Amino acid sequence: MESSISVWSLILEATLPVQLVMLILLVASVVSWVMIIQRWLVLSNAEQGMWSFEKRFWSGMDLSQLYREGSSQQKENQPTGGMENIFRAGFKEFMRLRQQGGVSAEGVMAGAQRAMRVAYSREEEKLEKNLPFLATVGSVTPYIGLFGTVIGIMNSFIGLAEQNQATLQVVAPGIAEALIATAMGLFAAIPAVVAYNRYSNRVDVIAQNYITFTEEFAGILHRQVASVQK
Amino acid sequence: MTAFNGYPISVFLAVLLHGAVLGALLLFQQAESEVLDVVRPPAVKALLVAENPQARNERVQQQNLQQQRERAQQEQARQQREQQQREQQERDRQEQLRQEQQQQEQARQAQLRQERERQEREEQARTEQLREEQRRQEEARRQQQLEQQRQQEAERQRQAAQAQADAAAAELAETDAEITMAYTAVIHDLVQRNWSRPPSARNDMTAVLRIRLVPTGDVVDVEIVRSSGDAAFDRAAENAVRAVGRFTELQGMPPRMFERSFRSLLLTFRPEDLLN
Repeated sequence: MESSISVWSLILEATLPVQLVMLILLVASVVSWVMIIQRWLVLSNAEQGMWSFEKRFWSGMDLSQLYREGSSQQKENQPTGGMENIFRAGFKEFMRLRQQGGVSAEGVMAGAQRAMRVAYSREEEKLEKNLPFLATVGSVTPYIGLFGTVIGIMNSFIGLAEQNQATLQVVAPGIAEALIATAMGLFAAIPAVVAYNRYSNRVDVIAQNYITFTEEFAGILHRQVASVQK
Repeated sequence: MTAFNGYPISVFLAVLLHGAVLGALLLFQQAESEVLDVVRPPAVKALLVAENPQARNERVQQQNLQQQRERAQQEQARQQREQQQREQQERDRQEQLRQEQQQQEQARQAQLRQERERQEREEQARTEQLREEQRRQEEARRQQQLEQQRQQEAERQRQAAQAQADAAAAELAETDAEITMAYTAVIHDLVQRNWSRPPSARNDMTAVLRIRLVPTGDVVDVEIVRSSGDAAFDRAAENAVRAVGRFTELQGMPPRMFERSFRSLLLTFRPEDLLN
């Protein structure tokens, strides 16, 4: 035992509170990595869906045909992208209000825009889901690790007080073991913080694109209403 | 209408990542310990080579072969010598025959010559004897010088050996002294903890106690060698030693050291930290 103190043996021989802290940190790290990978997949998917839908939307295709394609896609149990959902909500409301009759142009536009706002906030919620968890892990795990370190150092000093002759060999393993907790806290926190910053930026970009699209689509609908009333 | 979720694959990847990190830690540790294992063998190897029976056998066989070869060469040389001797004997015999004939003729002339030669030889012999004596004296002188040098070298070597032995003994004594000091420090510490100074203690008081110990660390006798002049102080010092009763730390000590330094021990009590 005197020859090598490895990280592994330090972890296995740590005192119970420190081990508990390490376990919590390990779980937090695993869960945060699950979130990081899952968010990455979701955001990549959303971006891809957005670009492909924009291309289809501006290809000059008839809007009602675009709507029907989406419906058939949903019937086959394939989910539509975020931007398409906004388009579908607005277009559906627009058609329904026009068919009802007796609603003014302003009323139709207001209804369609309200429906698109609702769809937009739902999509944004989907994108931002789990990001707060990453922020929490990033800000809290260093403190948890520090807590484990403080307890470990406390234990080693209590052991030192009981010793007759205080040597570095008595204190060193305890402090090393305690410092591992801090290391694990940082190990969990750093990727979480990086991922949170990166992903919130990506979500902002996507949401901005959604808003822009909403405005453009509203403009197109307004043109249609105006042309019909003439 | 279910939204895309990549949970299963992300759980799998996250667990895989952490497993990889922990595995790397484990591997790293094993590699370190392997390195530690590898460091030791060379010394063992050297020992094995020194005591390797195979190597020794081979050496012995080689030596035997060499001896046989030498013996064969010696025998050949002896045979050659014998042949040469035989041939020489034959030659000698023939020569003797010739010489006898010649000698008879020459004897007469020789007698005349011999007389002259004898005189010359005697003179030469005298000079040679003188030279030889000179040579012998010189050689004797040289040998004496060599012997003196040899004696000086031997003395030098002896002195060096003695110096080394002295150094080794000093080192041993030093480590012994260190250990003794460590044990003494432990004893002082224990006694000091059990020592409650009386209020009558003053800075200039000194009490010397002799304590007798047995190898188990038990105190068998406490005796005041020099009193401090204050009965309460003396009693407090004695009580401190008796309160300890047994120095368990001494149990593992080598018996030789115990007999030398701890069988009977002098302790000096001096209240140095008092202000008055």
